Amino acid sequence: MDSQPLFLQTPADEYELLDFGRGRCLERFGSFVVERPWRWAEGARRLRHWDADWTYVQEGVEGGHWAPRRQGLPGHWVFALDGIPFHCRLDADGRIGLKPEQLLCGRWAQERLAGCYHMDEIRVLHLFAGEGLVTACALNAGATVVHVDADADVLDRAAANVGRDNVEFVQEDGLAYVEAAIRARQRFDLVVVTPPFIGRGPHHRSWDIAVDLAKLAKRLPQLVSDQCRGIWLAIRPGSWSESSLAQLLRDALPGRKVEALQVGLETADGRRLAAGVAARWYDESADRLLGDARQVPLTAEQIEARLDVPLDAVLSSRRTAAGPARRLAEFAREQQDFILHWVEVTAHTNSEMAYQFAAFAAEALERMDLDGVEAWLIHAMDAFDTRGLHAGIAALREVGHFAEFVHTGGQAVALADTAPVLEAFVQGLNGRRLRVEAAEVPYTDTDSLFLPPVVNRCSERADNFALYRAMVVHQWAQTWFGTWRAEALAVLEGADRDRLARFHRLEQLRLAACIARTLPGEARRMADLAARLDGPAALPEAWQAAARALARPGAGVGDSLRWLERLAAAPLPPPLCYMGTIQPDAVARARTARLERDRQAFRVALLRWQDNLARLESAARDGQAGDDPDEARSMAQRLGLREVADAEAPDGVAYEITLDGKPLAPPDDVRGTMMSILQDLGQIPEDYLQAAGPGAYYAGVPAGEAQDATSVWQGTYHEEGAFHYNEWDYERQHYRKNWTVLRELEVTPRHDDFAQRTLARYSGLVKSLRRVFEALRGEERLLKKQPHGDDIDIDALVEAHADVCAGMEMTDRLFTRMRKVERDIAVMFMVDMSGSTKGWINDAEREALLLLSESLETLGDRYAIYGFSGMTRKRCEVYRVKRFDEPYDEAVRARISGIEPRDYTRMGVAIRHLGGMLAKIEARTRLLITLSDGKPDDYDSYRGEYGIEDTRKALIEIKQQGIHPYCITIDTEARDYLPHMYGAVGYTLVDEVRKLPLKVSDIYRRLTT
Amino acid sequence: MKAHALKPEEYFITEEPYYEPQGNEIAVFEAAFRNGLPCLLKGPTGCGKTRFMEHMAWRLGRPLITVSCHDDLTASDLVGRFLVTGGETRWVDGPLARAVRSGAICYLDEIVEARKDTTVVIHPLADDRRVLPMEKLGEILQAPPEFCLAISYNPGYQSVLKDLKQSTRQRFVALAFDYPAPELEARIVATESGVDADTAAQLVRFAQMTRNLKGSGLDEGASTRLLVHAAKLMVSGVEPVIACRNAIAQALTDDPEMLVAVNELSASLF
Repeated sequence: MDSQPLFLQTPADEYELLDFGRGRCLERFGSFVVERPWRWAEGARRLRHWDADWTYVQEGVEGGHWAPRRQGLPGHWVFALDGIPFHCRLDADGRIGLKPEQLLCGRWAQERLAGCYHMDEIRVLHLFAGEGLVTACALNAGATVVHVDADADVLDRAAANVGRDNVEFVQEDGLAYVEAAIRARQRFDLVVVTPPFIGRGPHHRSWDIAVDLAKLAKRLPQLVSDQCRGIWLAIRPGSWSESSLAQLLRDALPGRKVEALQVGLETADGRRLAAGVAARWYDESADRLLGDARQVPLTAEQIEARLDVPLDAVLSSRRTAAGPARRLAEFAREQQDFILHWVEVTAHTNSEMAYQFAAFAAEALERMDLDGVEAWLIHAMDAFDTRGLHAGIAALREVGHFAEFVHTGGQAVALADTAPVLEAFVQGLNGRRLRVEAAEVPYTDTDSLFLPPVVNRCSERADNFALYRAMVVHQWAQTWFGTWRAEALAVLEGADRDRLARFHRLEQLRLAACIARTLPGEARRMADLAARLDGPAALPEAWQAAARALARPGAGVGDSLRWLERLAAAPLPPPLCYMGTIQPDAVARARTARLERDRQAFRVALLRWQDNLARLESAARDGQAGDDPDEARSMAQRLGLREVADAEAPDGVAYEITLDGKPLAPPDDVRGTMMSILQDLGQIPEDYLQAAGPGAYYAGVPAGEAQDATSVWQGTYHEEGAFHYNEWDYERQHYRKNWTVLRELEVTPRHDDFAQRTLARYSGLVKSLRRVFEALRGEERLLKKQPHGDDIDIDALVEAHADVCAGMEMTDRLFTRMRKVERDIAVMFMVDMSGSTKGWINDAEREALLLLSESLETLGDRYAIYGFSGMTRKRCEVYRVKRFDEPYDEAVRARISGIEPRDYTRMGVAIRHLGGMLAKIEARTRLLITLSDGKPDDYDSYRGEYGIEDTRKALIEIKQQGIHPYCITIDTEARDYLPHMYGAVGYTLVDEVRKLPLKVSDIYRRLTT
Repeated sequence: MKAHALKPEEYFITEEPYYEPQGNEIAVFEAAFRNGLPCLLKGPTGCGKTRFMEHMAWRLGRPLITVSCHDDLTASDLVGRFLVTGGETRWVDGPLARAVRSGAICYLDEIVEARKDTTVVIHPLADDRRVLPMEKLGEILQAPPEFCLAISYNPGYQSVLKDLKQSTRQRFVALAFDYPAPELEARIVATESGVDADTAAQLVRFAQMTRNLKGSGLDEGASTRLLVHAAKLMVSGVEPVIACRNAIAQALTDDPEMLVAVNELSASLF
């Protein structure tokens, strides 16, 4: 097996090997020349005189120092290698902070990584990575890197060289890391190993190349992904030759082609200095494929053949993939492969969506780059998830809109992002609480503000937001300043578009003046915006007179209506950017419904308030008839309404409620309803003051009947009372919004002697558990000689007095303090109630829960117990056994006894729901403990990788909320997947079901002390 | 320029502190004072409780001794303790005992923050006995008629654990404070800061907007005190929008979305 020589050649201004010989070498790093020892530099020197800036002087066997040629030279500088900046750092052992020959590996890594599709998913592993030259090259190619080294100082220097973005630094011995990575099912797309002969790692690990290199090489195949780009193994010259190293790698990768290399540095005149040996493997076939692929796009027939497979379900004799294939044939191979890949992924979810995607893909590719196309597909899939196939296809069709959105870059503002701010803004402005919703054309129906989903008219984000704000204020003003009174709705009934537009413009003039009076800052900003986006305001002559008239403080919508008649024939000026449209029909509908609601609410509130007044008054009159219905009626006659001038109110007029002519302050709910009625009607009609009669009080305000969550399967399907949660699709690397529907149900309690039997059987265990947990509970201690405290420590004071008399300083630790050791823990138990627990496992789970509850009662921690199961994503279920605030009593014990095996195990949604409940509890430590018997599994493809990945994502989400997840399982195969989900230390395997009851309390105790 | 040090019982307020009555609290307090009844002031922060106490102290011509209560306050902090000086122990009065001895007004601010076993110290002073027992000294201190006890707290957001017991509350005459009516508030802001009436009115409108958001993202709306701060900044030449941002928005909340909303509101007014 021939070995290839691979010697470093670099541009002279970056790095140069100048000369070598007799155990030393002379190199230039950037602007400085360095002479250092080099064990393998044999032969005579070429240059007579070595003129180095820094020379390493050996002193004895180990040790030495760097001698500069003159004063003031820096011992640490930055230079470039292949354009990548790197630090050269001289240290006391004669090292320079990098190994220049590693640049050969770095260049190879960059070559291998070039041209990968999903660069952000490519992971590179470098073991014994040193100061990071190879890491820097891999980062430069766009990958993320895991940089492993046993020495913390070296890692710091590496961080200084490459930064911390996209790179994970791990302080660990190389072999230890490999073993941990394999257990955690981590995979890498490129692996570089550059071990020393001997090394020492943390946790008392040590590395001896003679013993450990073979072990490590054997493990390499388990560490690489399906599309691994290569493995590079390199060591310094020594007992291994390059052929034996290559053989080692070949043994580990049977049937693969491994190259053996001699690695080193080269001078300008071709003399070579050996620096080590290396073995490398890379997938040549992939290379060749890629090489071809870079030139040859697929033909239409090839594409159609590739499309036929995933789209089979929706293709027929009349609809084939020929059309999309033909259009796609015109694109480059990379783009074709990209589209085909995503067609296949989408087809897993829905074939029709995949077909439509393929159909519109050509247009998408013409308008956007690959990232944009991906974002477009994800947007369409979100629409599909939340609103169904029709919405998804519509989103795919609007590729043009989407492309525009993408092109304005990040400057566009989406309604979803700003709705909370806009809603808070509107609520602050005053008046009825208005919702913000999305619609294609902006308008308001006086209950909600409808705004476009995306605004990207301006090139700056702030300006786009200002446009949203202007729309909001314009619509709010319509509600506040009384555009939509009954007279306007009557006049505009059946009006055509032109008439509506005229009315809208007149109102805009009036409202602009009102806004200028009350919100001067906003009026200024709106005028600026209009000037910039619509051009300078130039109203026609006729309209200017209208503008002046409507700008008067007392102008109302009636004035606008009069001007509408006068200007019926005049030319219409163009609308302003923030105006949107008006839709009187929508307003009329919303108004009618609201008026009735408000009227009822007002009357009921008034009645309640009157009742209180009457009661107070009768109590003051010492118990005269208080419940007499005649009383109530005469009260209504004593109530009156009075107009008061109020600058704050929209019409300048507010209403006061008077009792016997004296003003009364109504309670908040009455006041709010009054404001709403005022906005609609401009006044409060007298008949509103008649409180509802005594019978009507109990009819209450009609609200939608809340449907019972459990009635779902007995008739029409509905989703009221249910919770919606996202689910993570790991193939798409994206959430499926509101994909799962979860309901909370009760466990049917079973009143049998299960509790007594269990406690009797485990009585000994129960006693010892109680003792152990009591000791954990918390103690109070009296601390003496404290600097602060409740009481004086007399002993300490006496001593201190004695000190003072003796001439010494007086201490201030003269107090005693009681200290309580607090336990502030809240724990949520998630019990697997899937069908697979039937039998022994179910019994064991119930017993374990019972014993645990007994222990927890002693301990005093807050805990809740919920079971989970479900079938399909639309029917996820969570079963209440014990809530946090419930005491542990007979009912809870009966429910524990009533836990029965049910259906499947969709863990992700249960974790999200119960984690959310736990997050609301105030406690210093929060635990979510899962009692499970196996992997996540559900009827509809929620199994295998998909289920595991979604569960893992859910666990990550709750970890971010500060909750610690933990899993107790009896599945003997748990070690395959649990570390990936819960982390290497987040789970316990109980290998015998019978031991579950004993073990659970033990585990809990260990977790929480 | 050195800070001026005074003994608390000699802290007489000589200039009239500016105070605009919201109702008839001045008359009620004076009547309570004459009858030897203690007073409880309750209301949200920044409504004028402390300013009211200063005003009354000036009006009644008594010194004002203020104690800010907190969780570590002990009975001996209020009443007094033995200290060892010069080789001997001697008794040093706490602020409450000092107030009783010199017939001053003692104002305990945020009384719910103190522990219950500290609060009961004031019970003998707060009912018709008007004495302060000093067990460590073995004496009973009788309060002169000019002594007045006042406490304050904010009923809005205290926890269940920190509430005023009935046995304490029912010894006091309670005065409720709240945000003043708009014209009154504007006048207060204008007088305190020297800003013009229109700007003061805009500030009050802005405060009203923030109070609309109470419970939907803000714990409390802007208090009068914050408005005065913002107005003072404006008088010193700070831009109105920036003054509102620093003196009001950032003081009210840390939530980024609420901050944006509140800043937008202030920018829409100025």
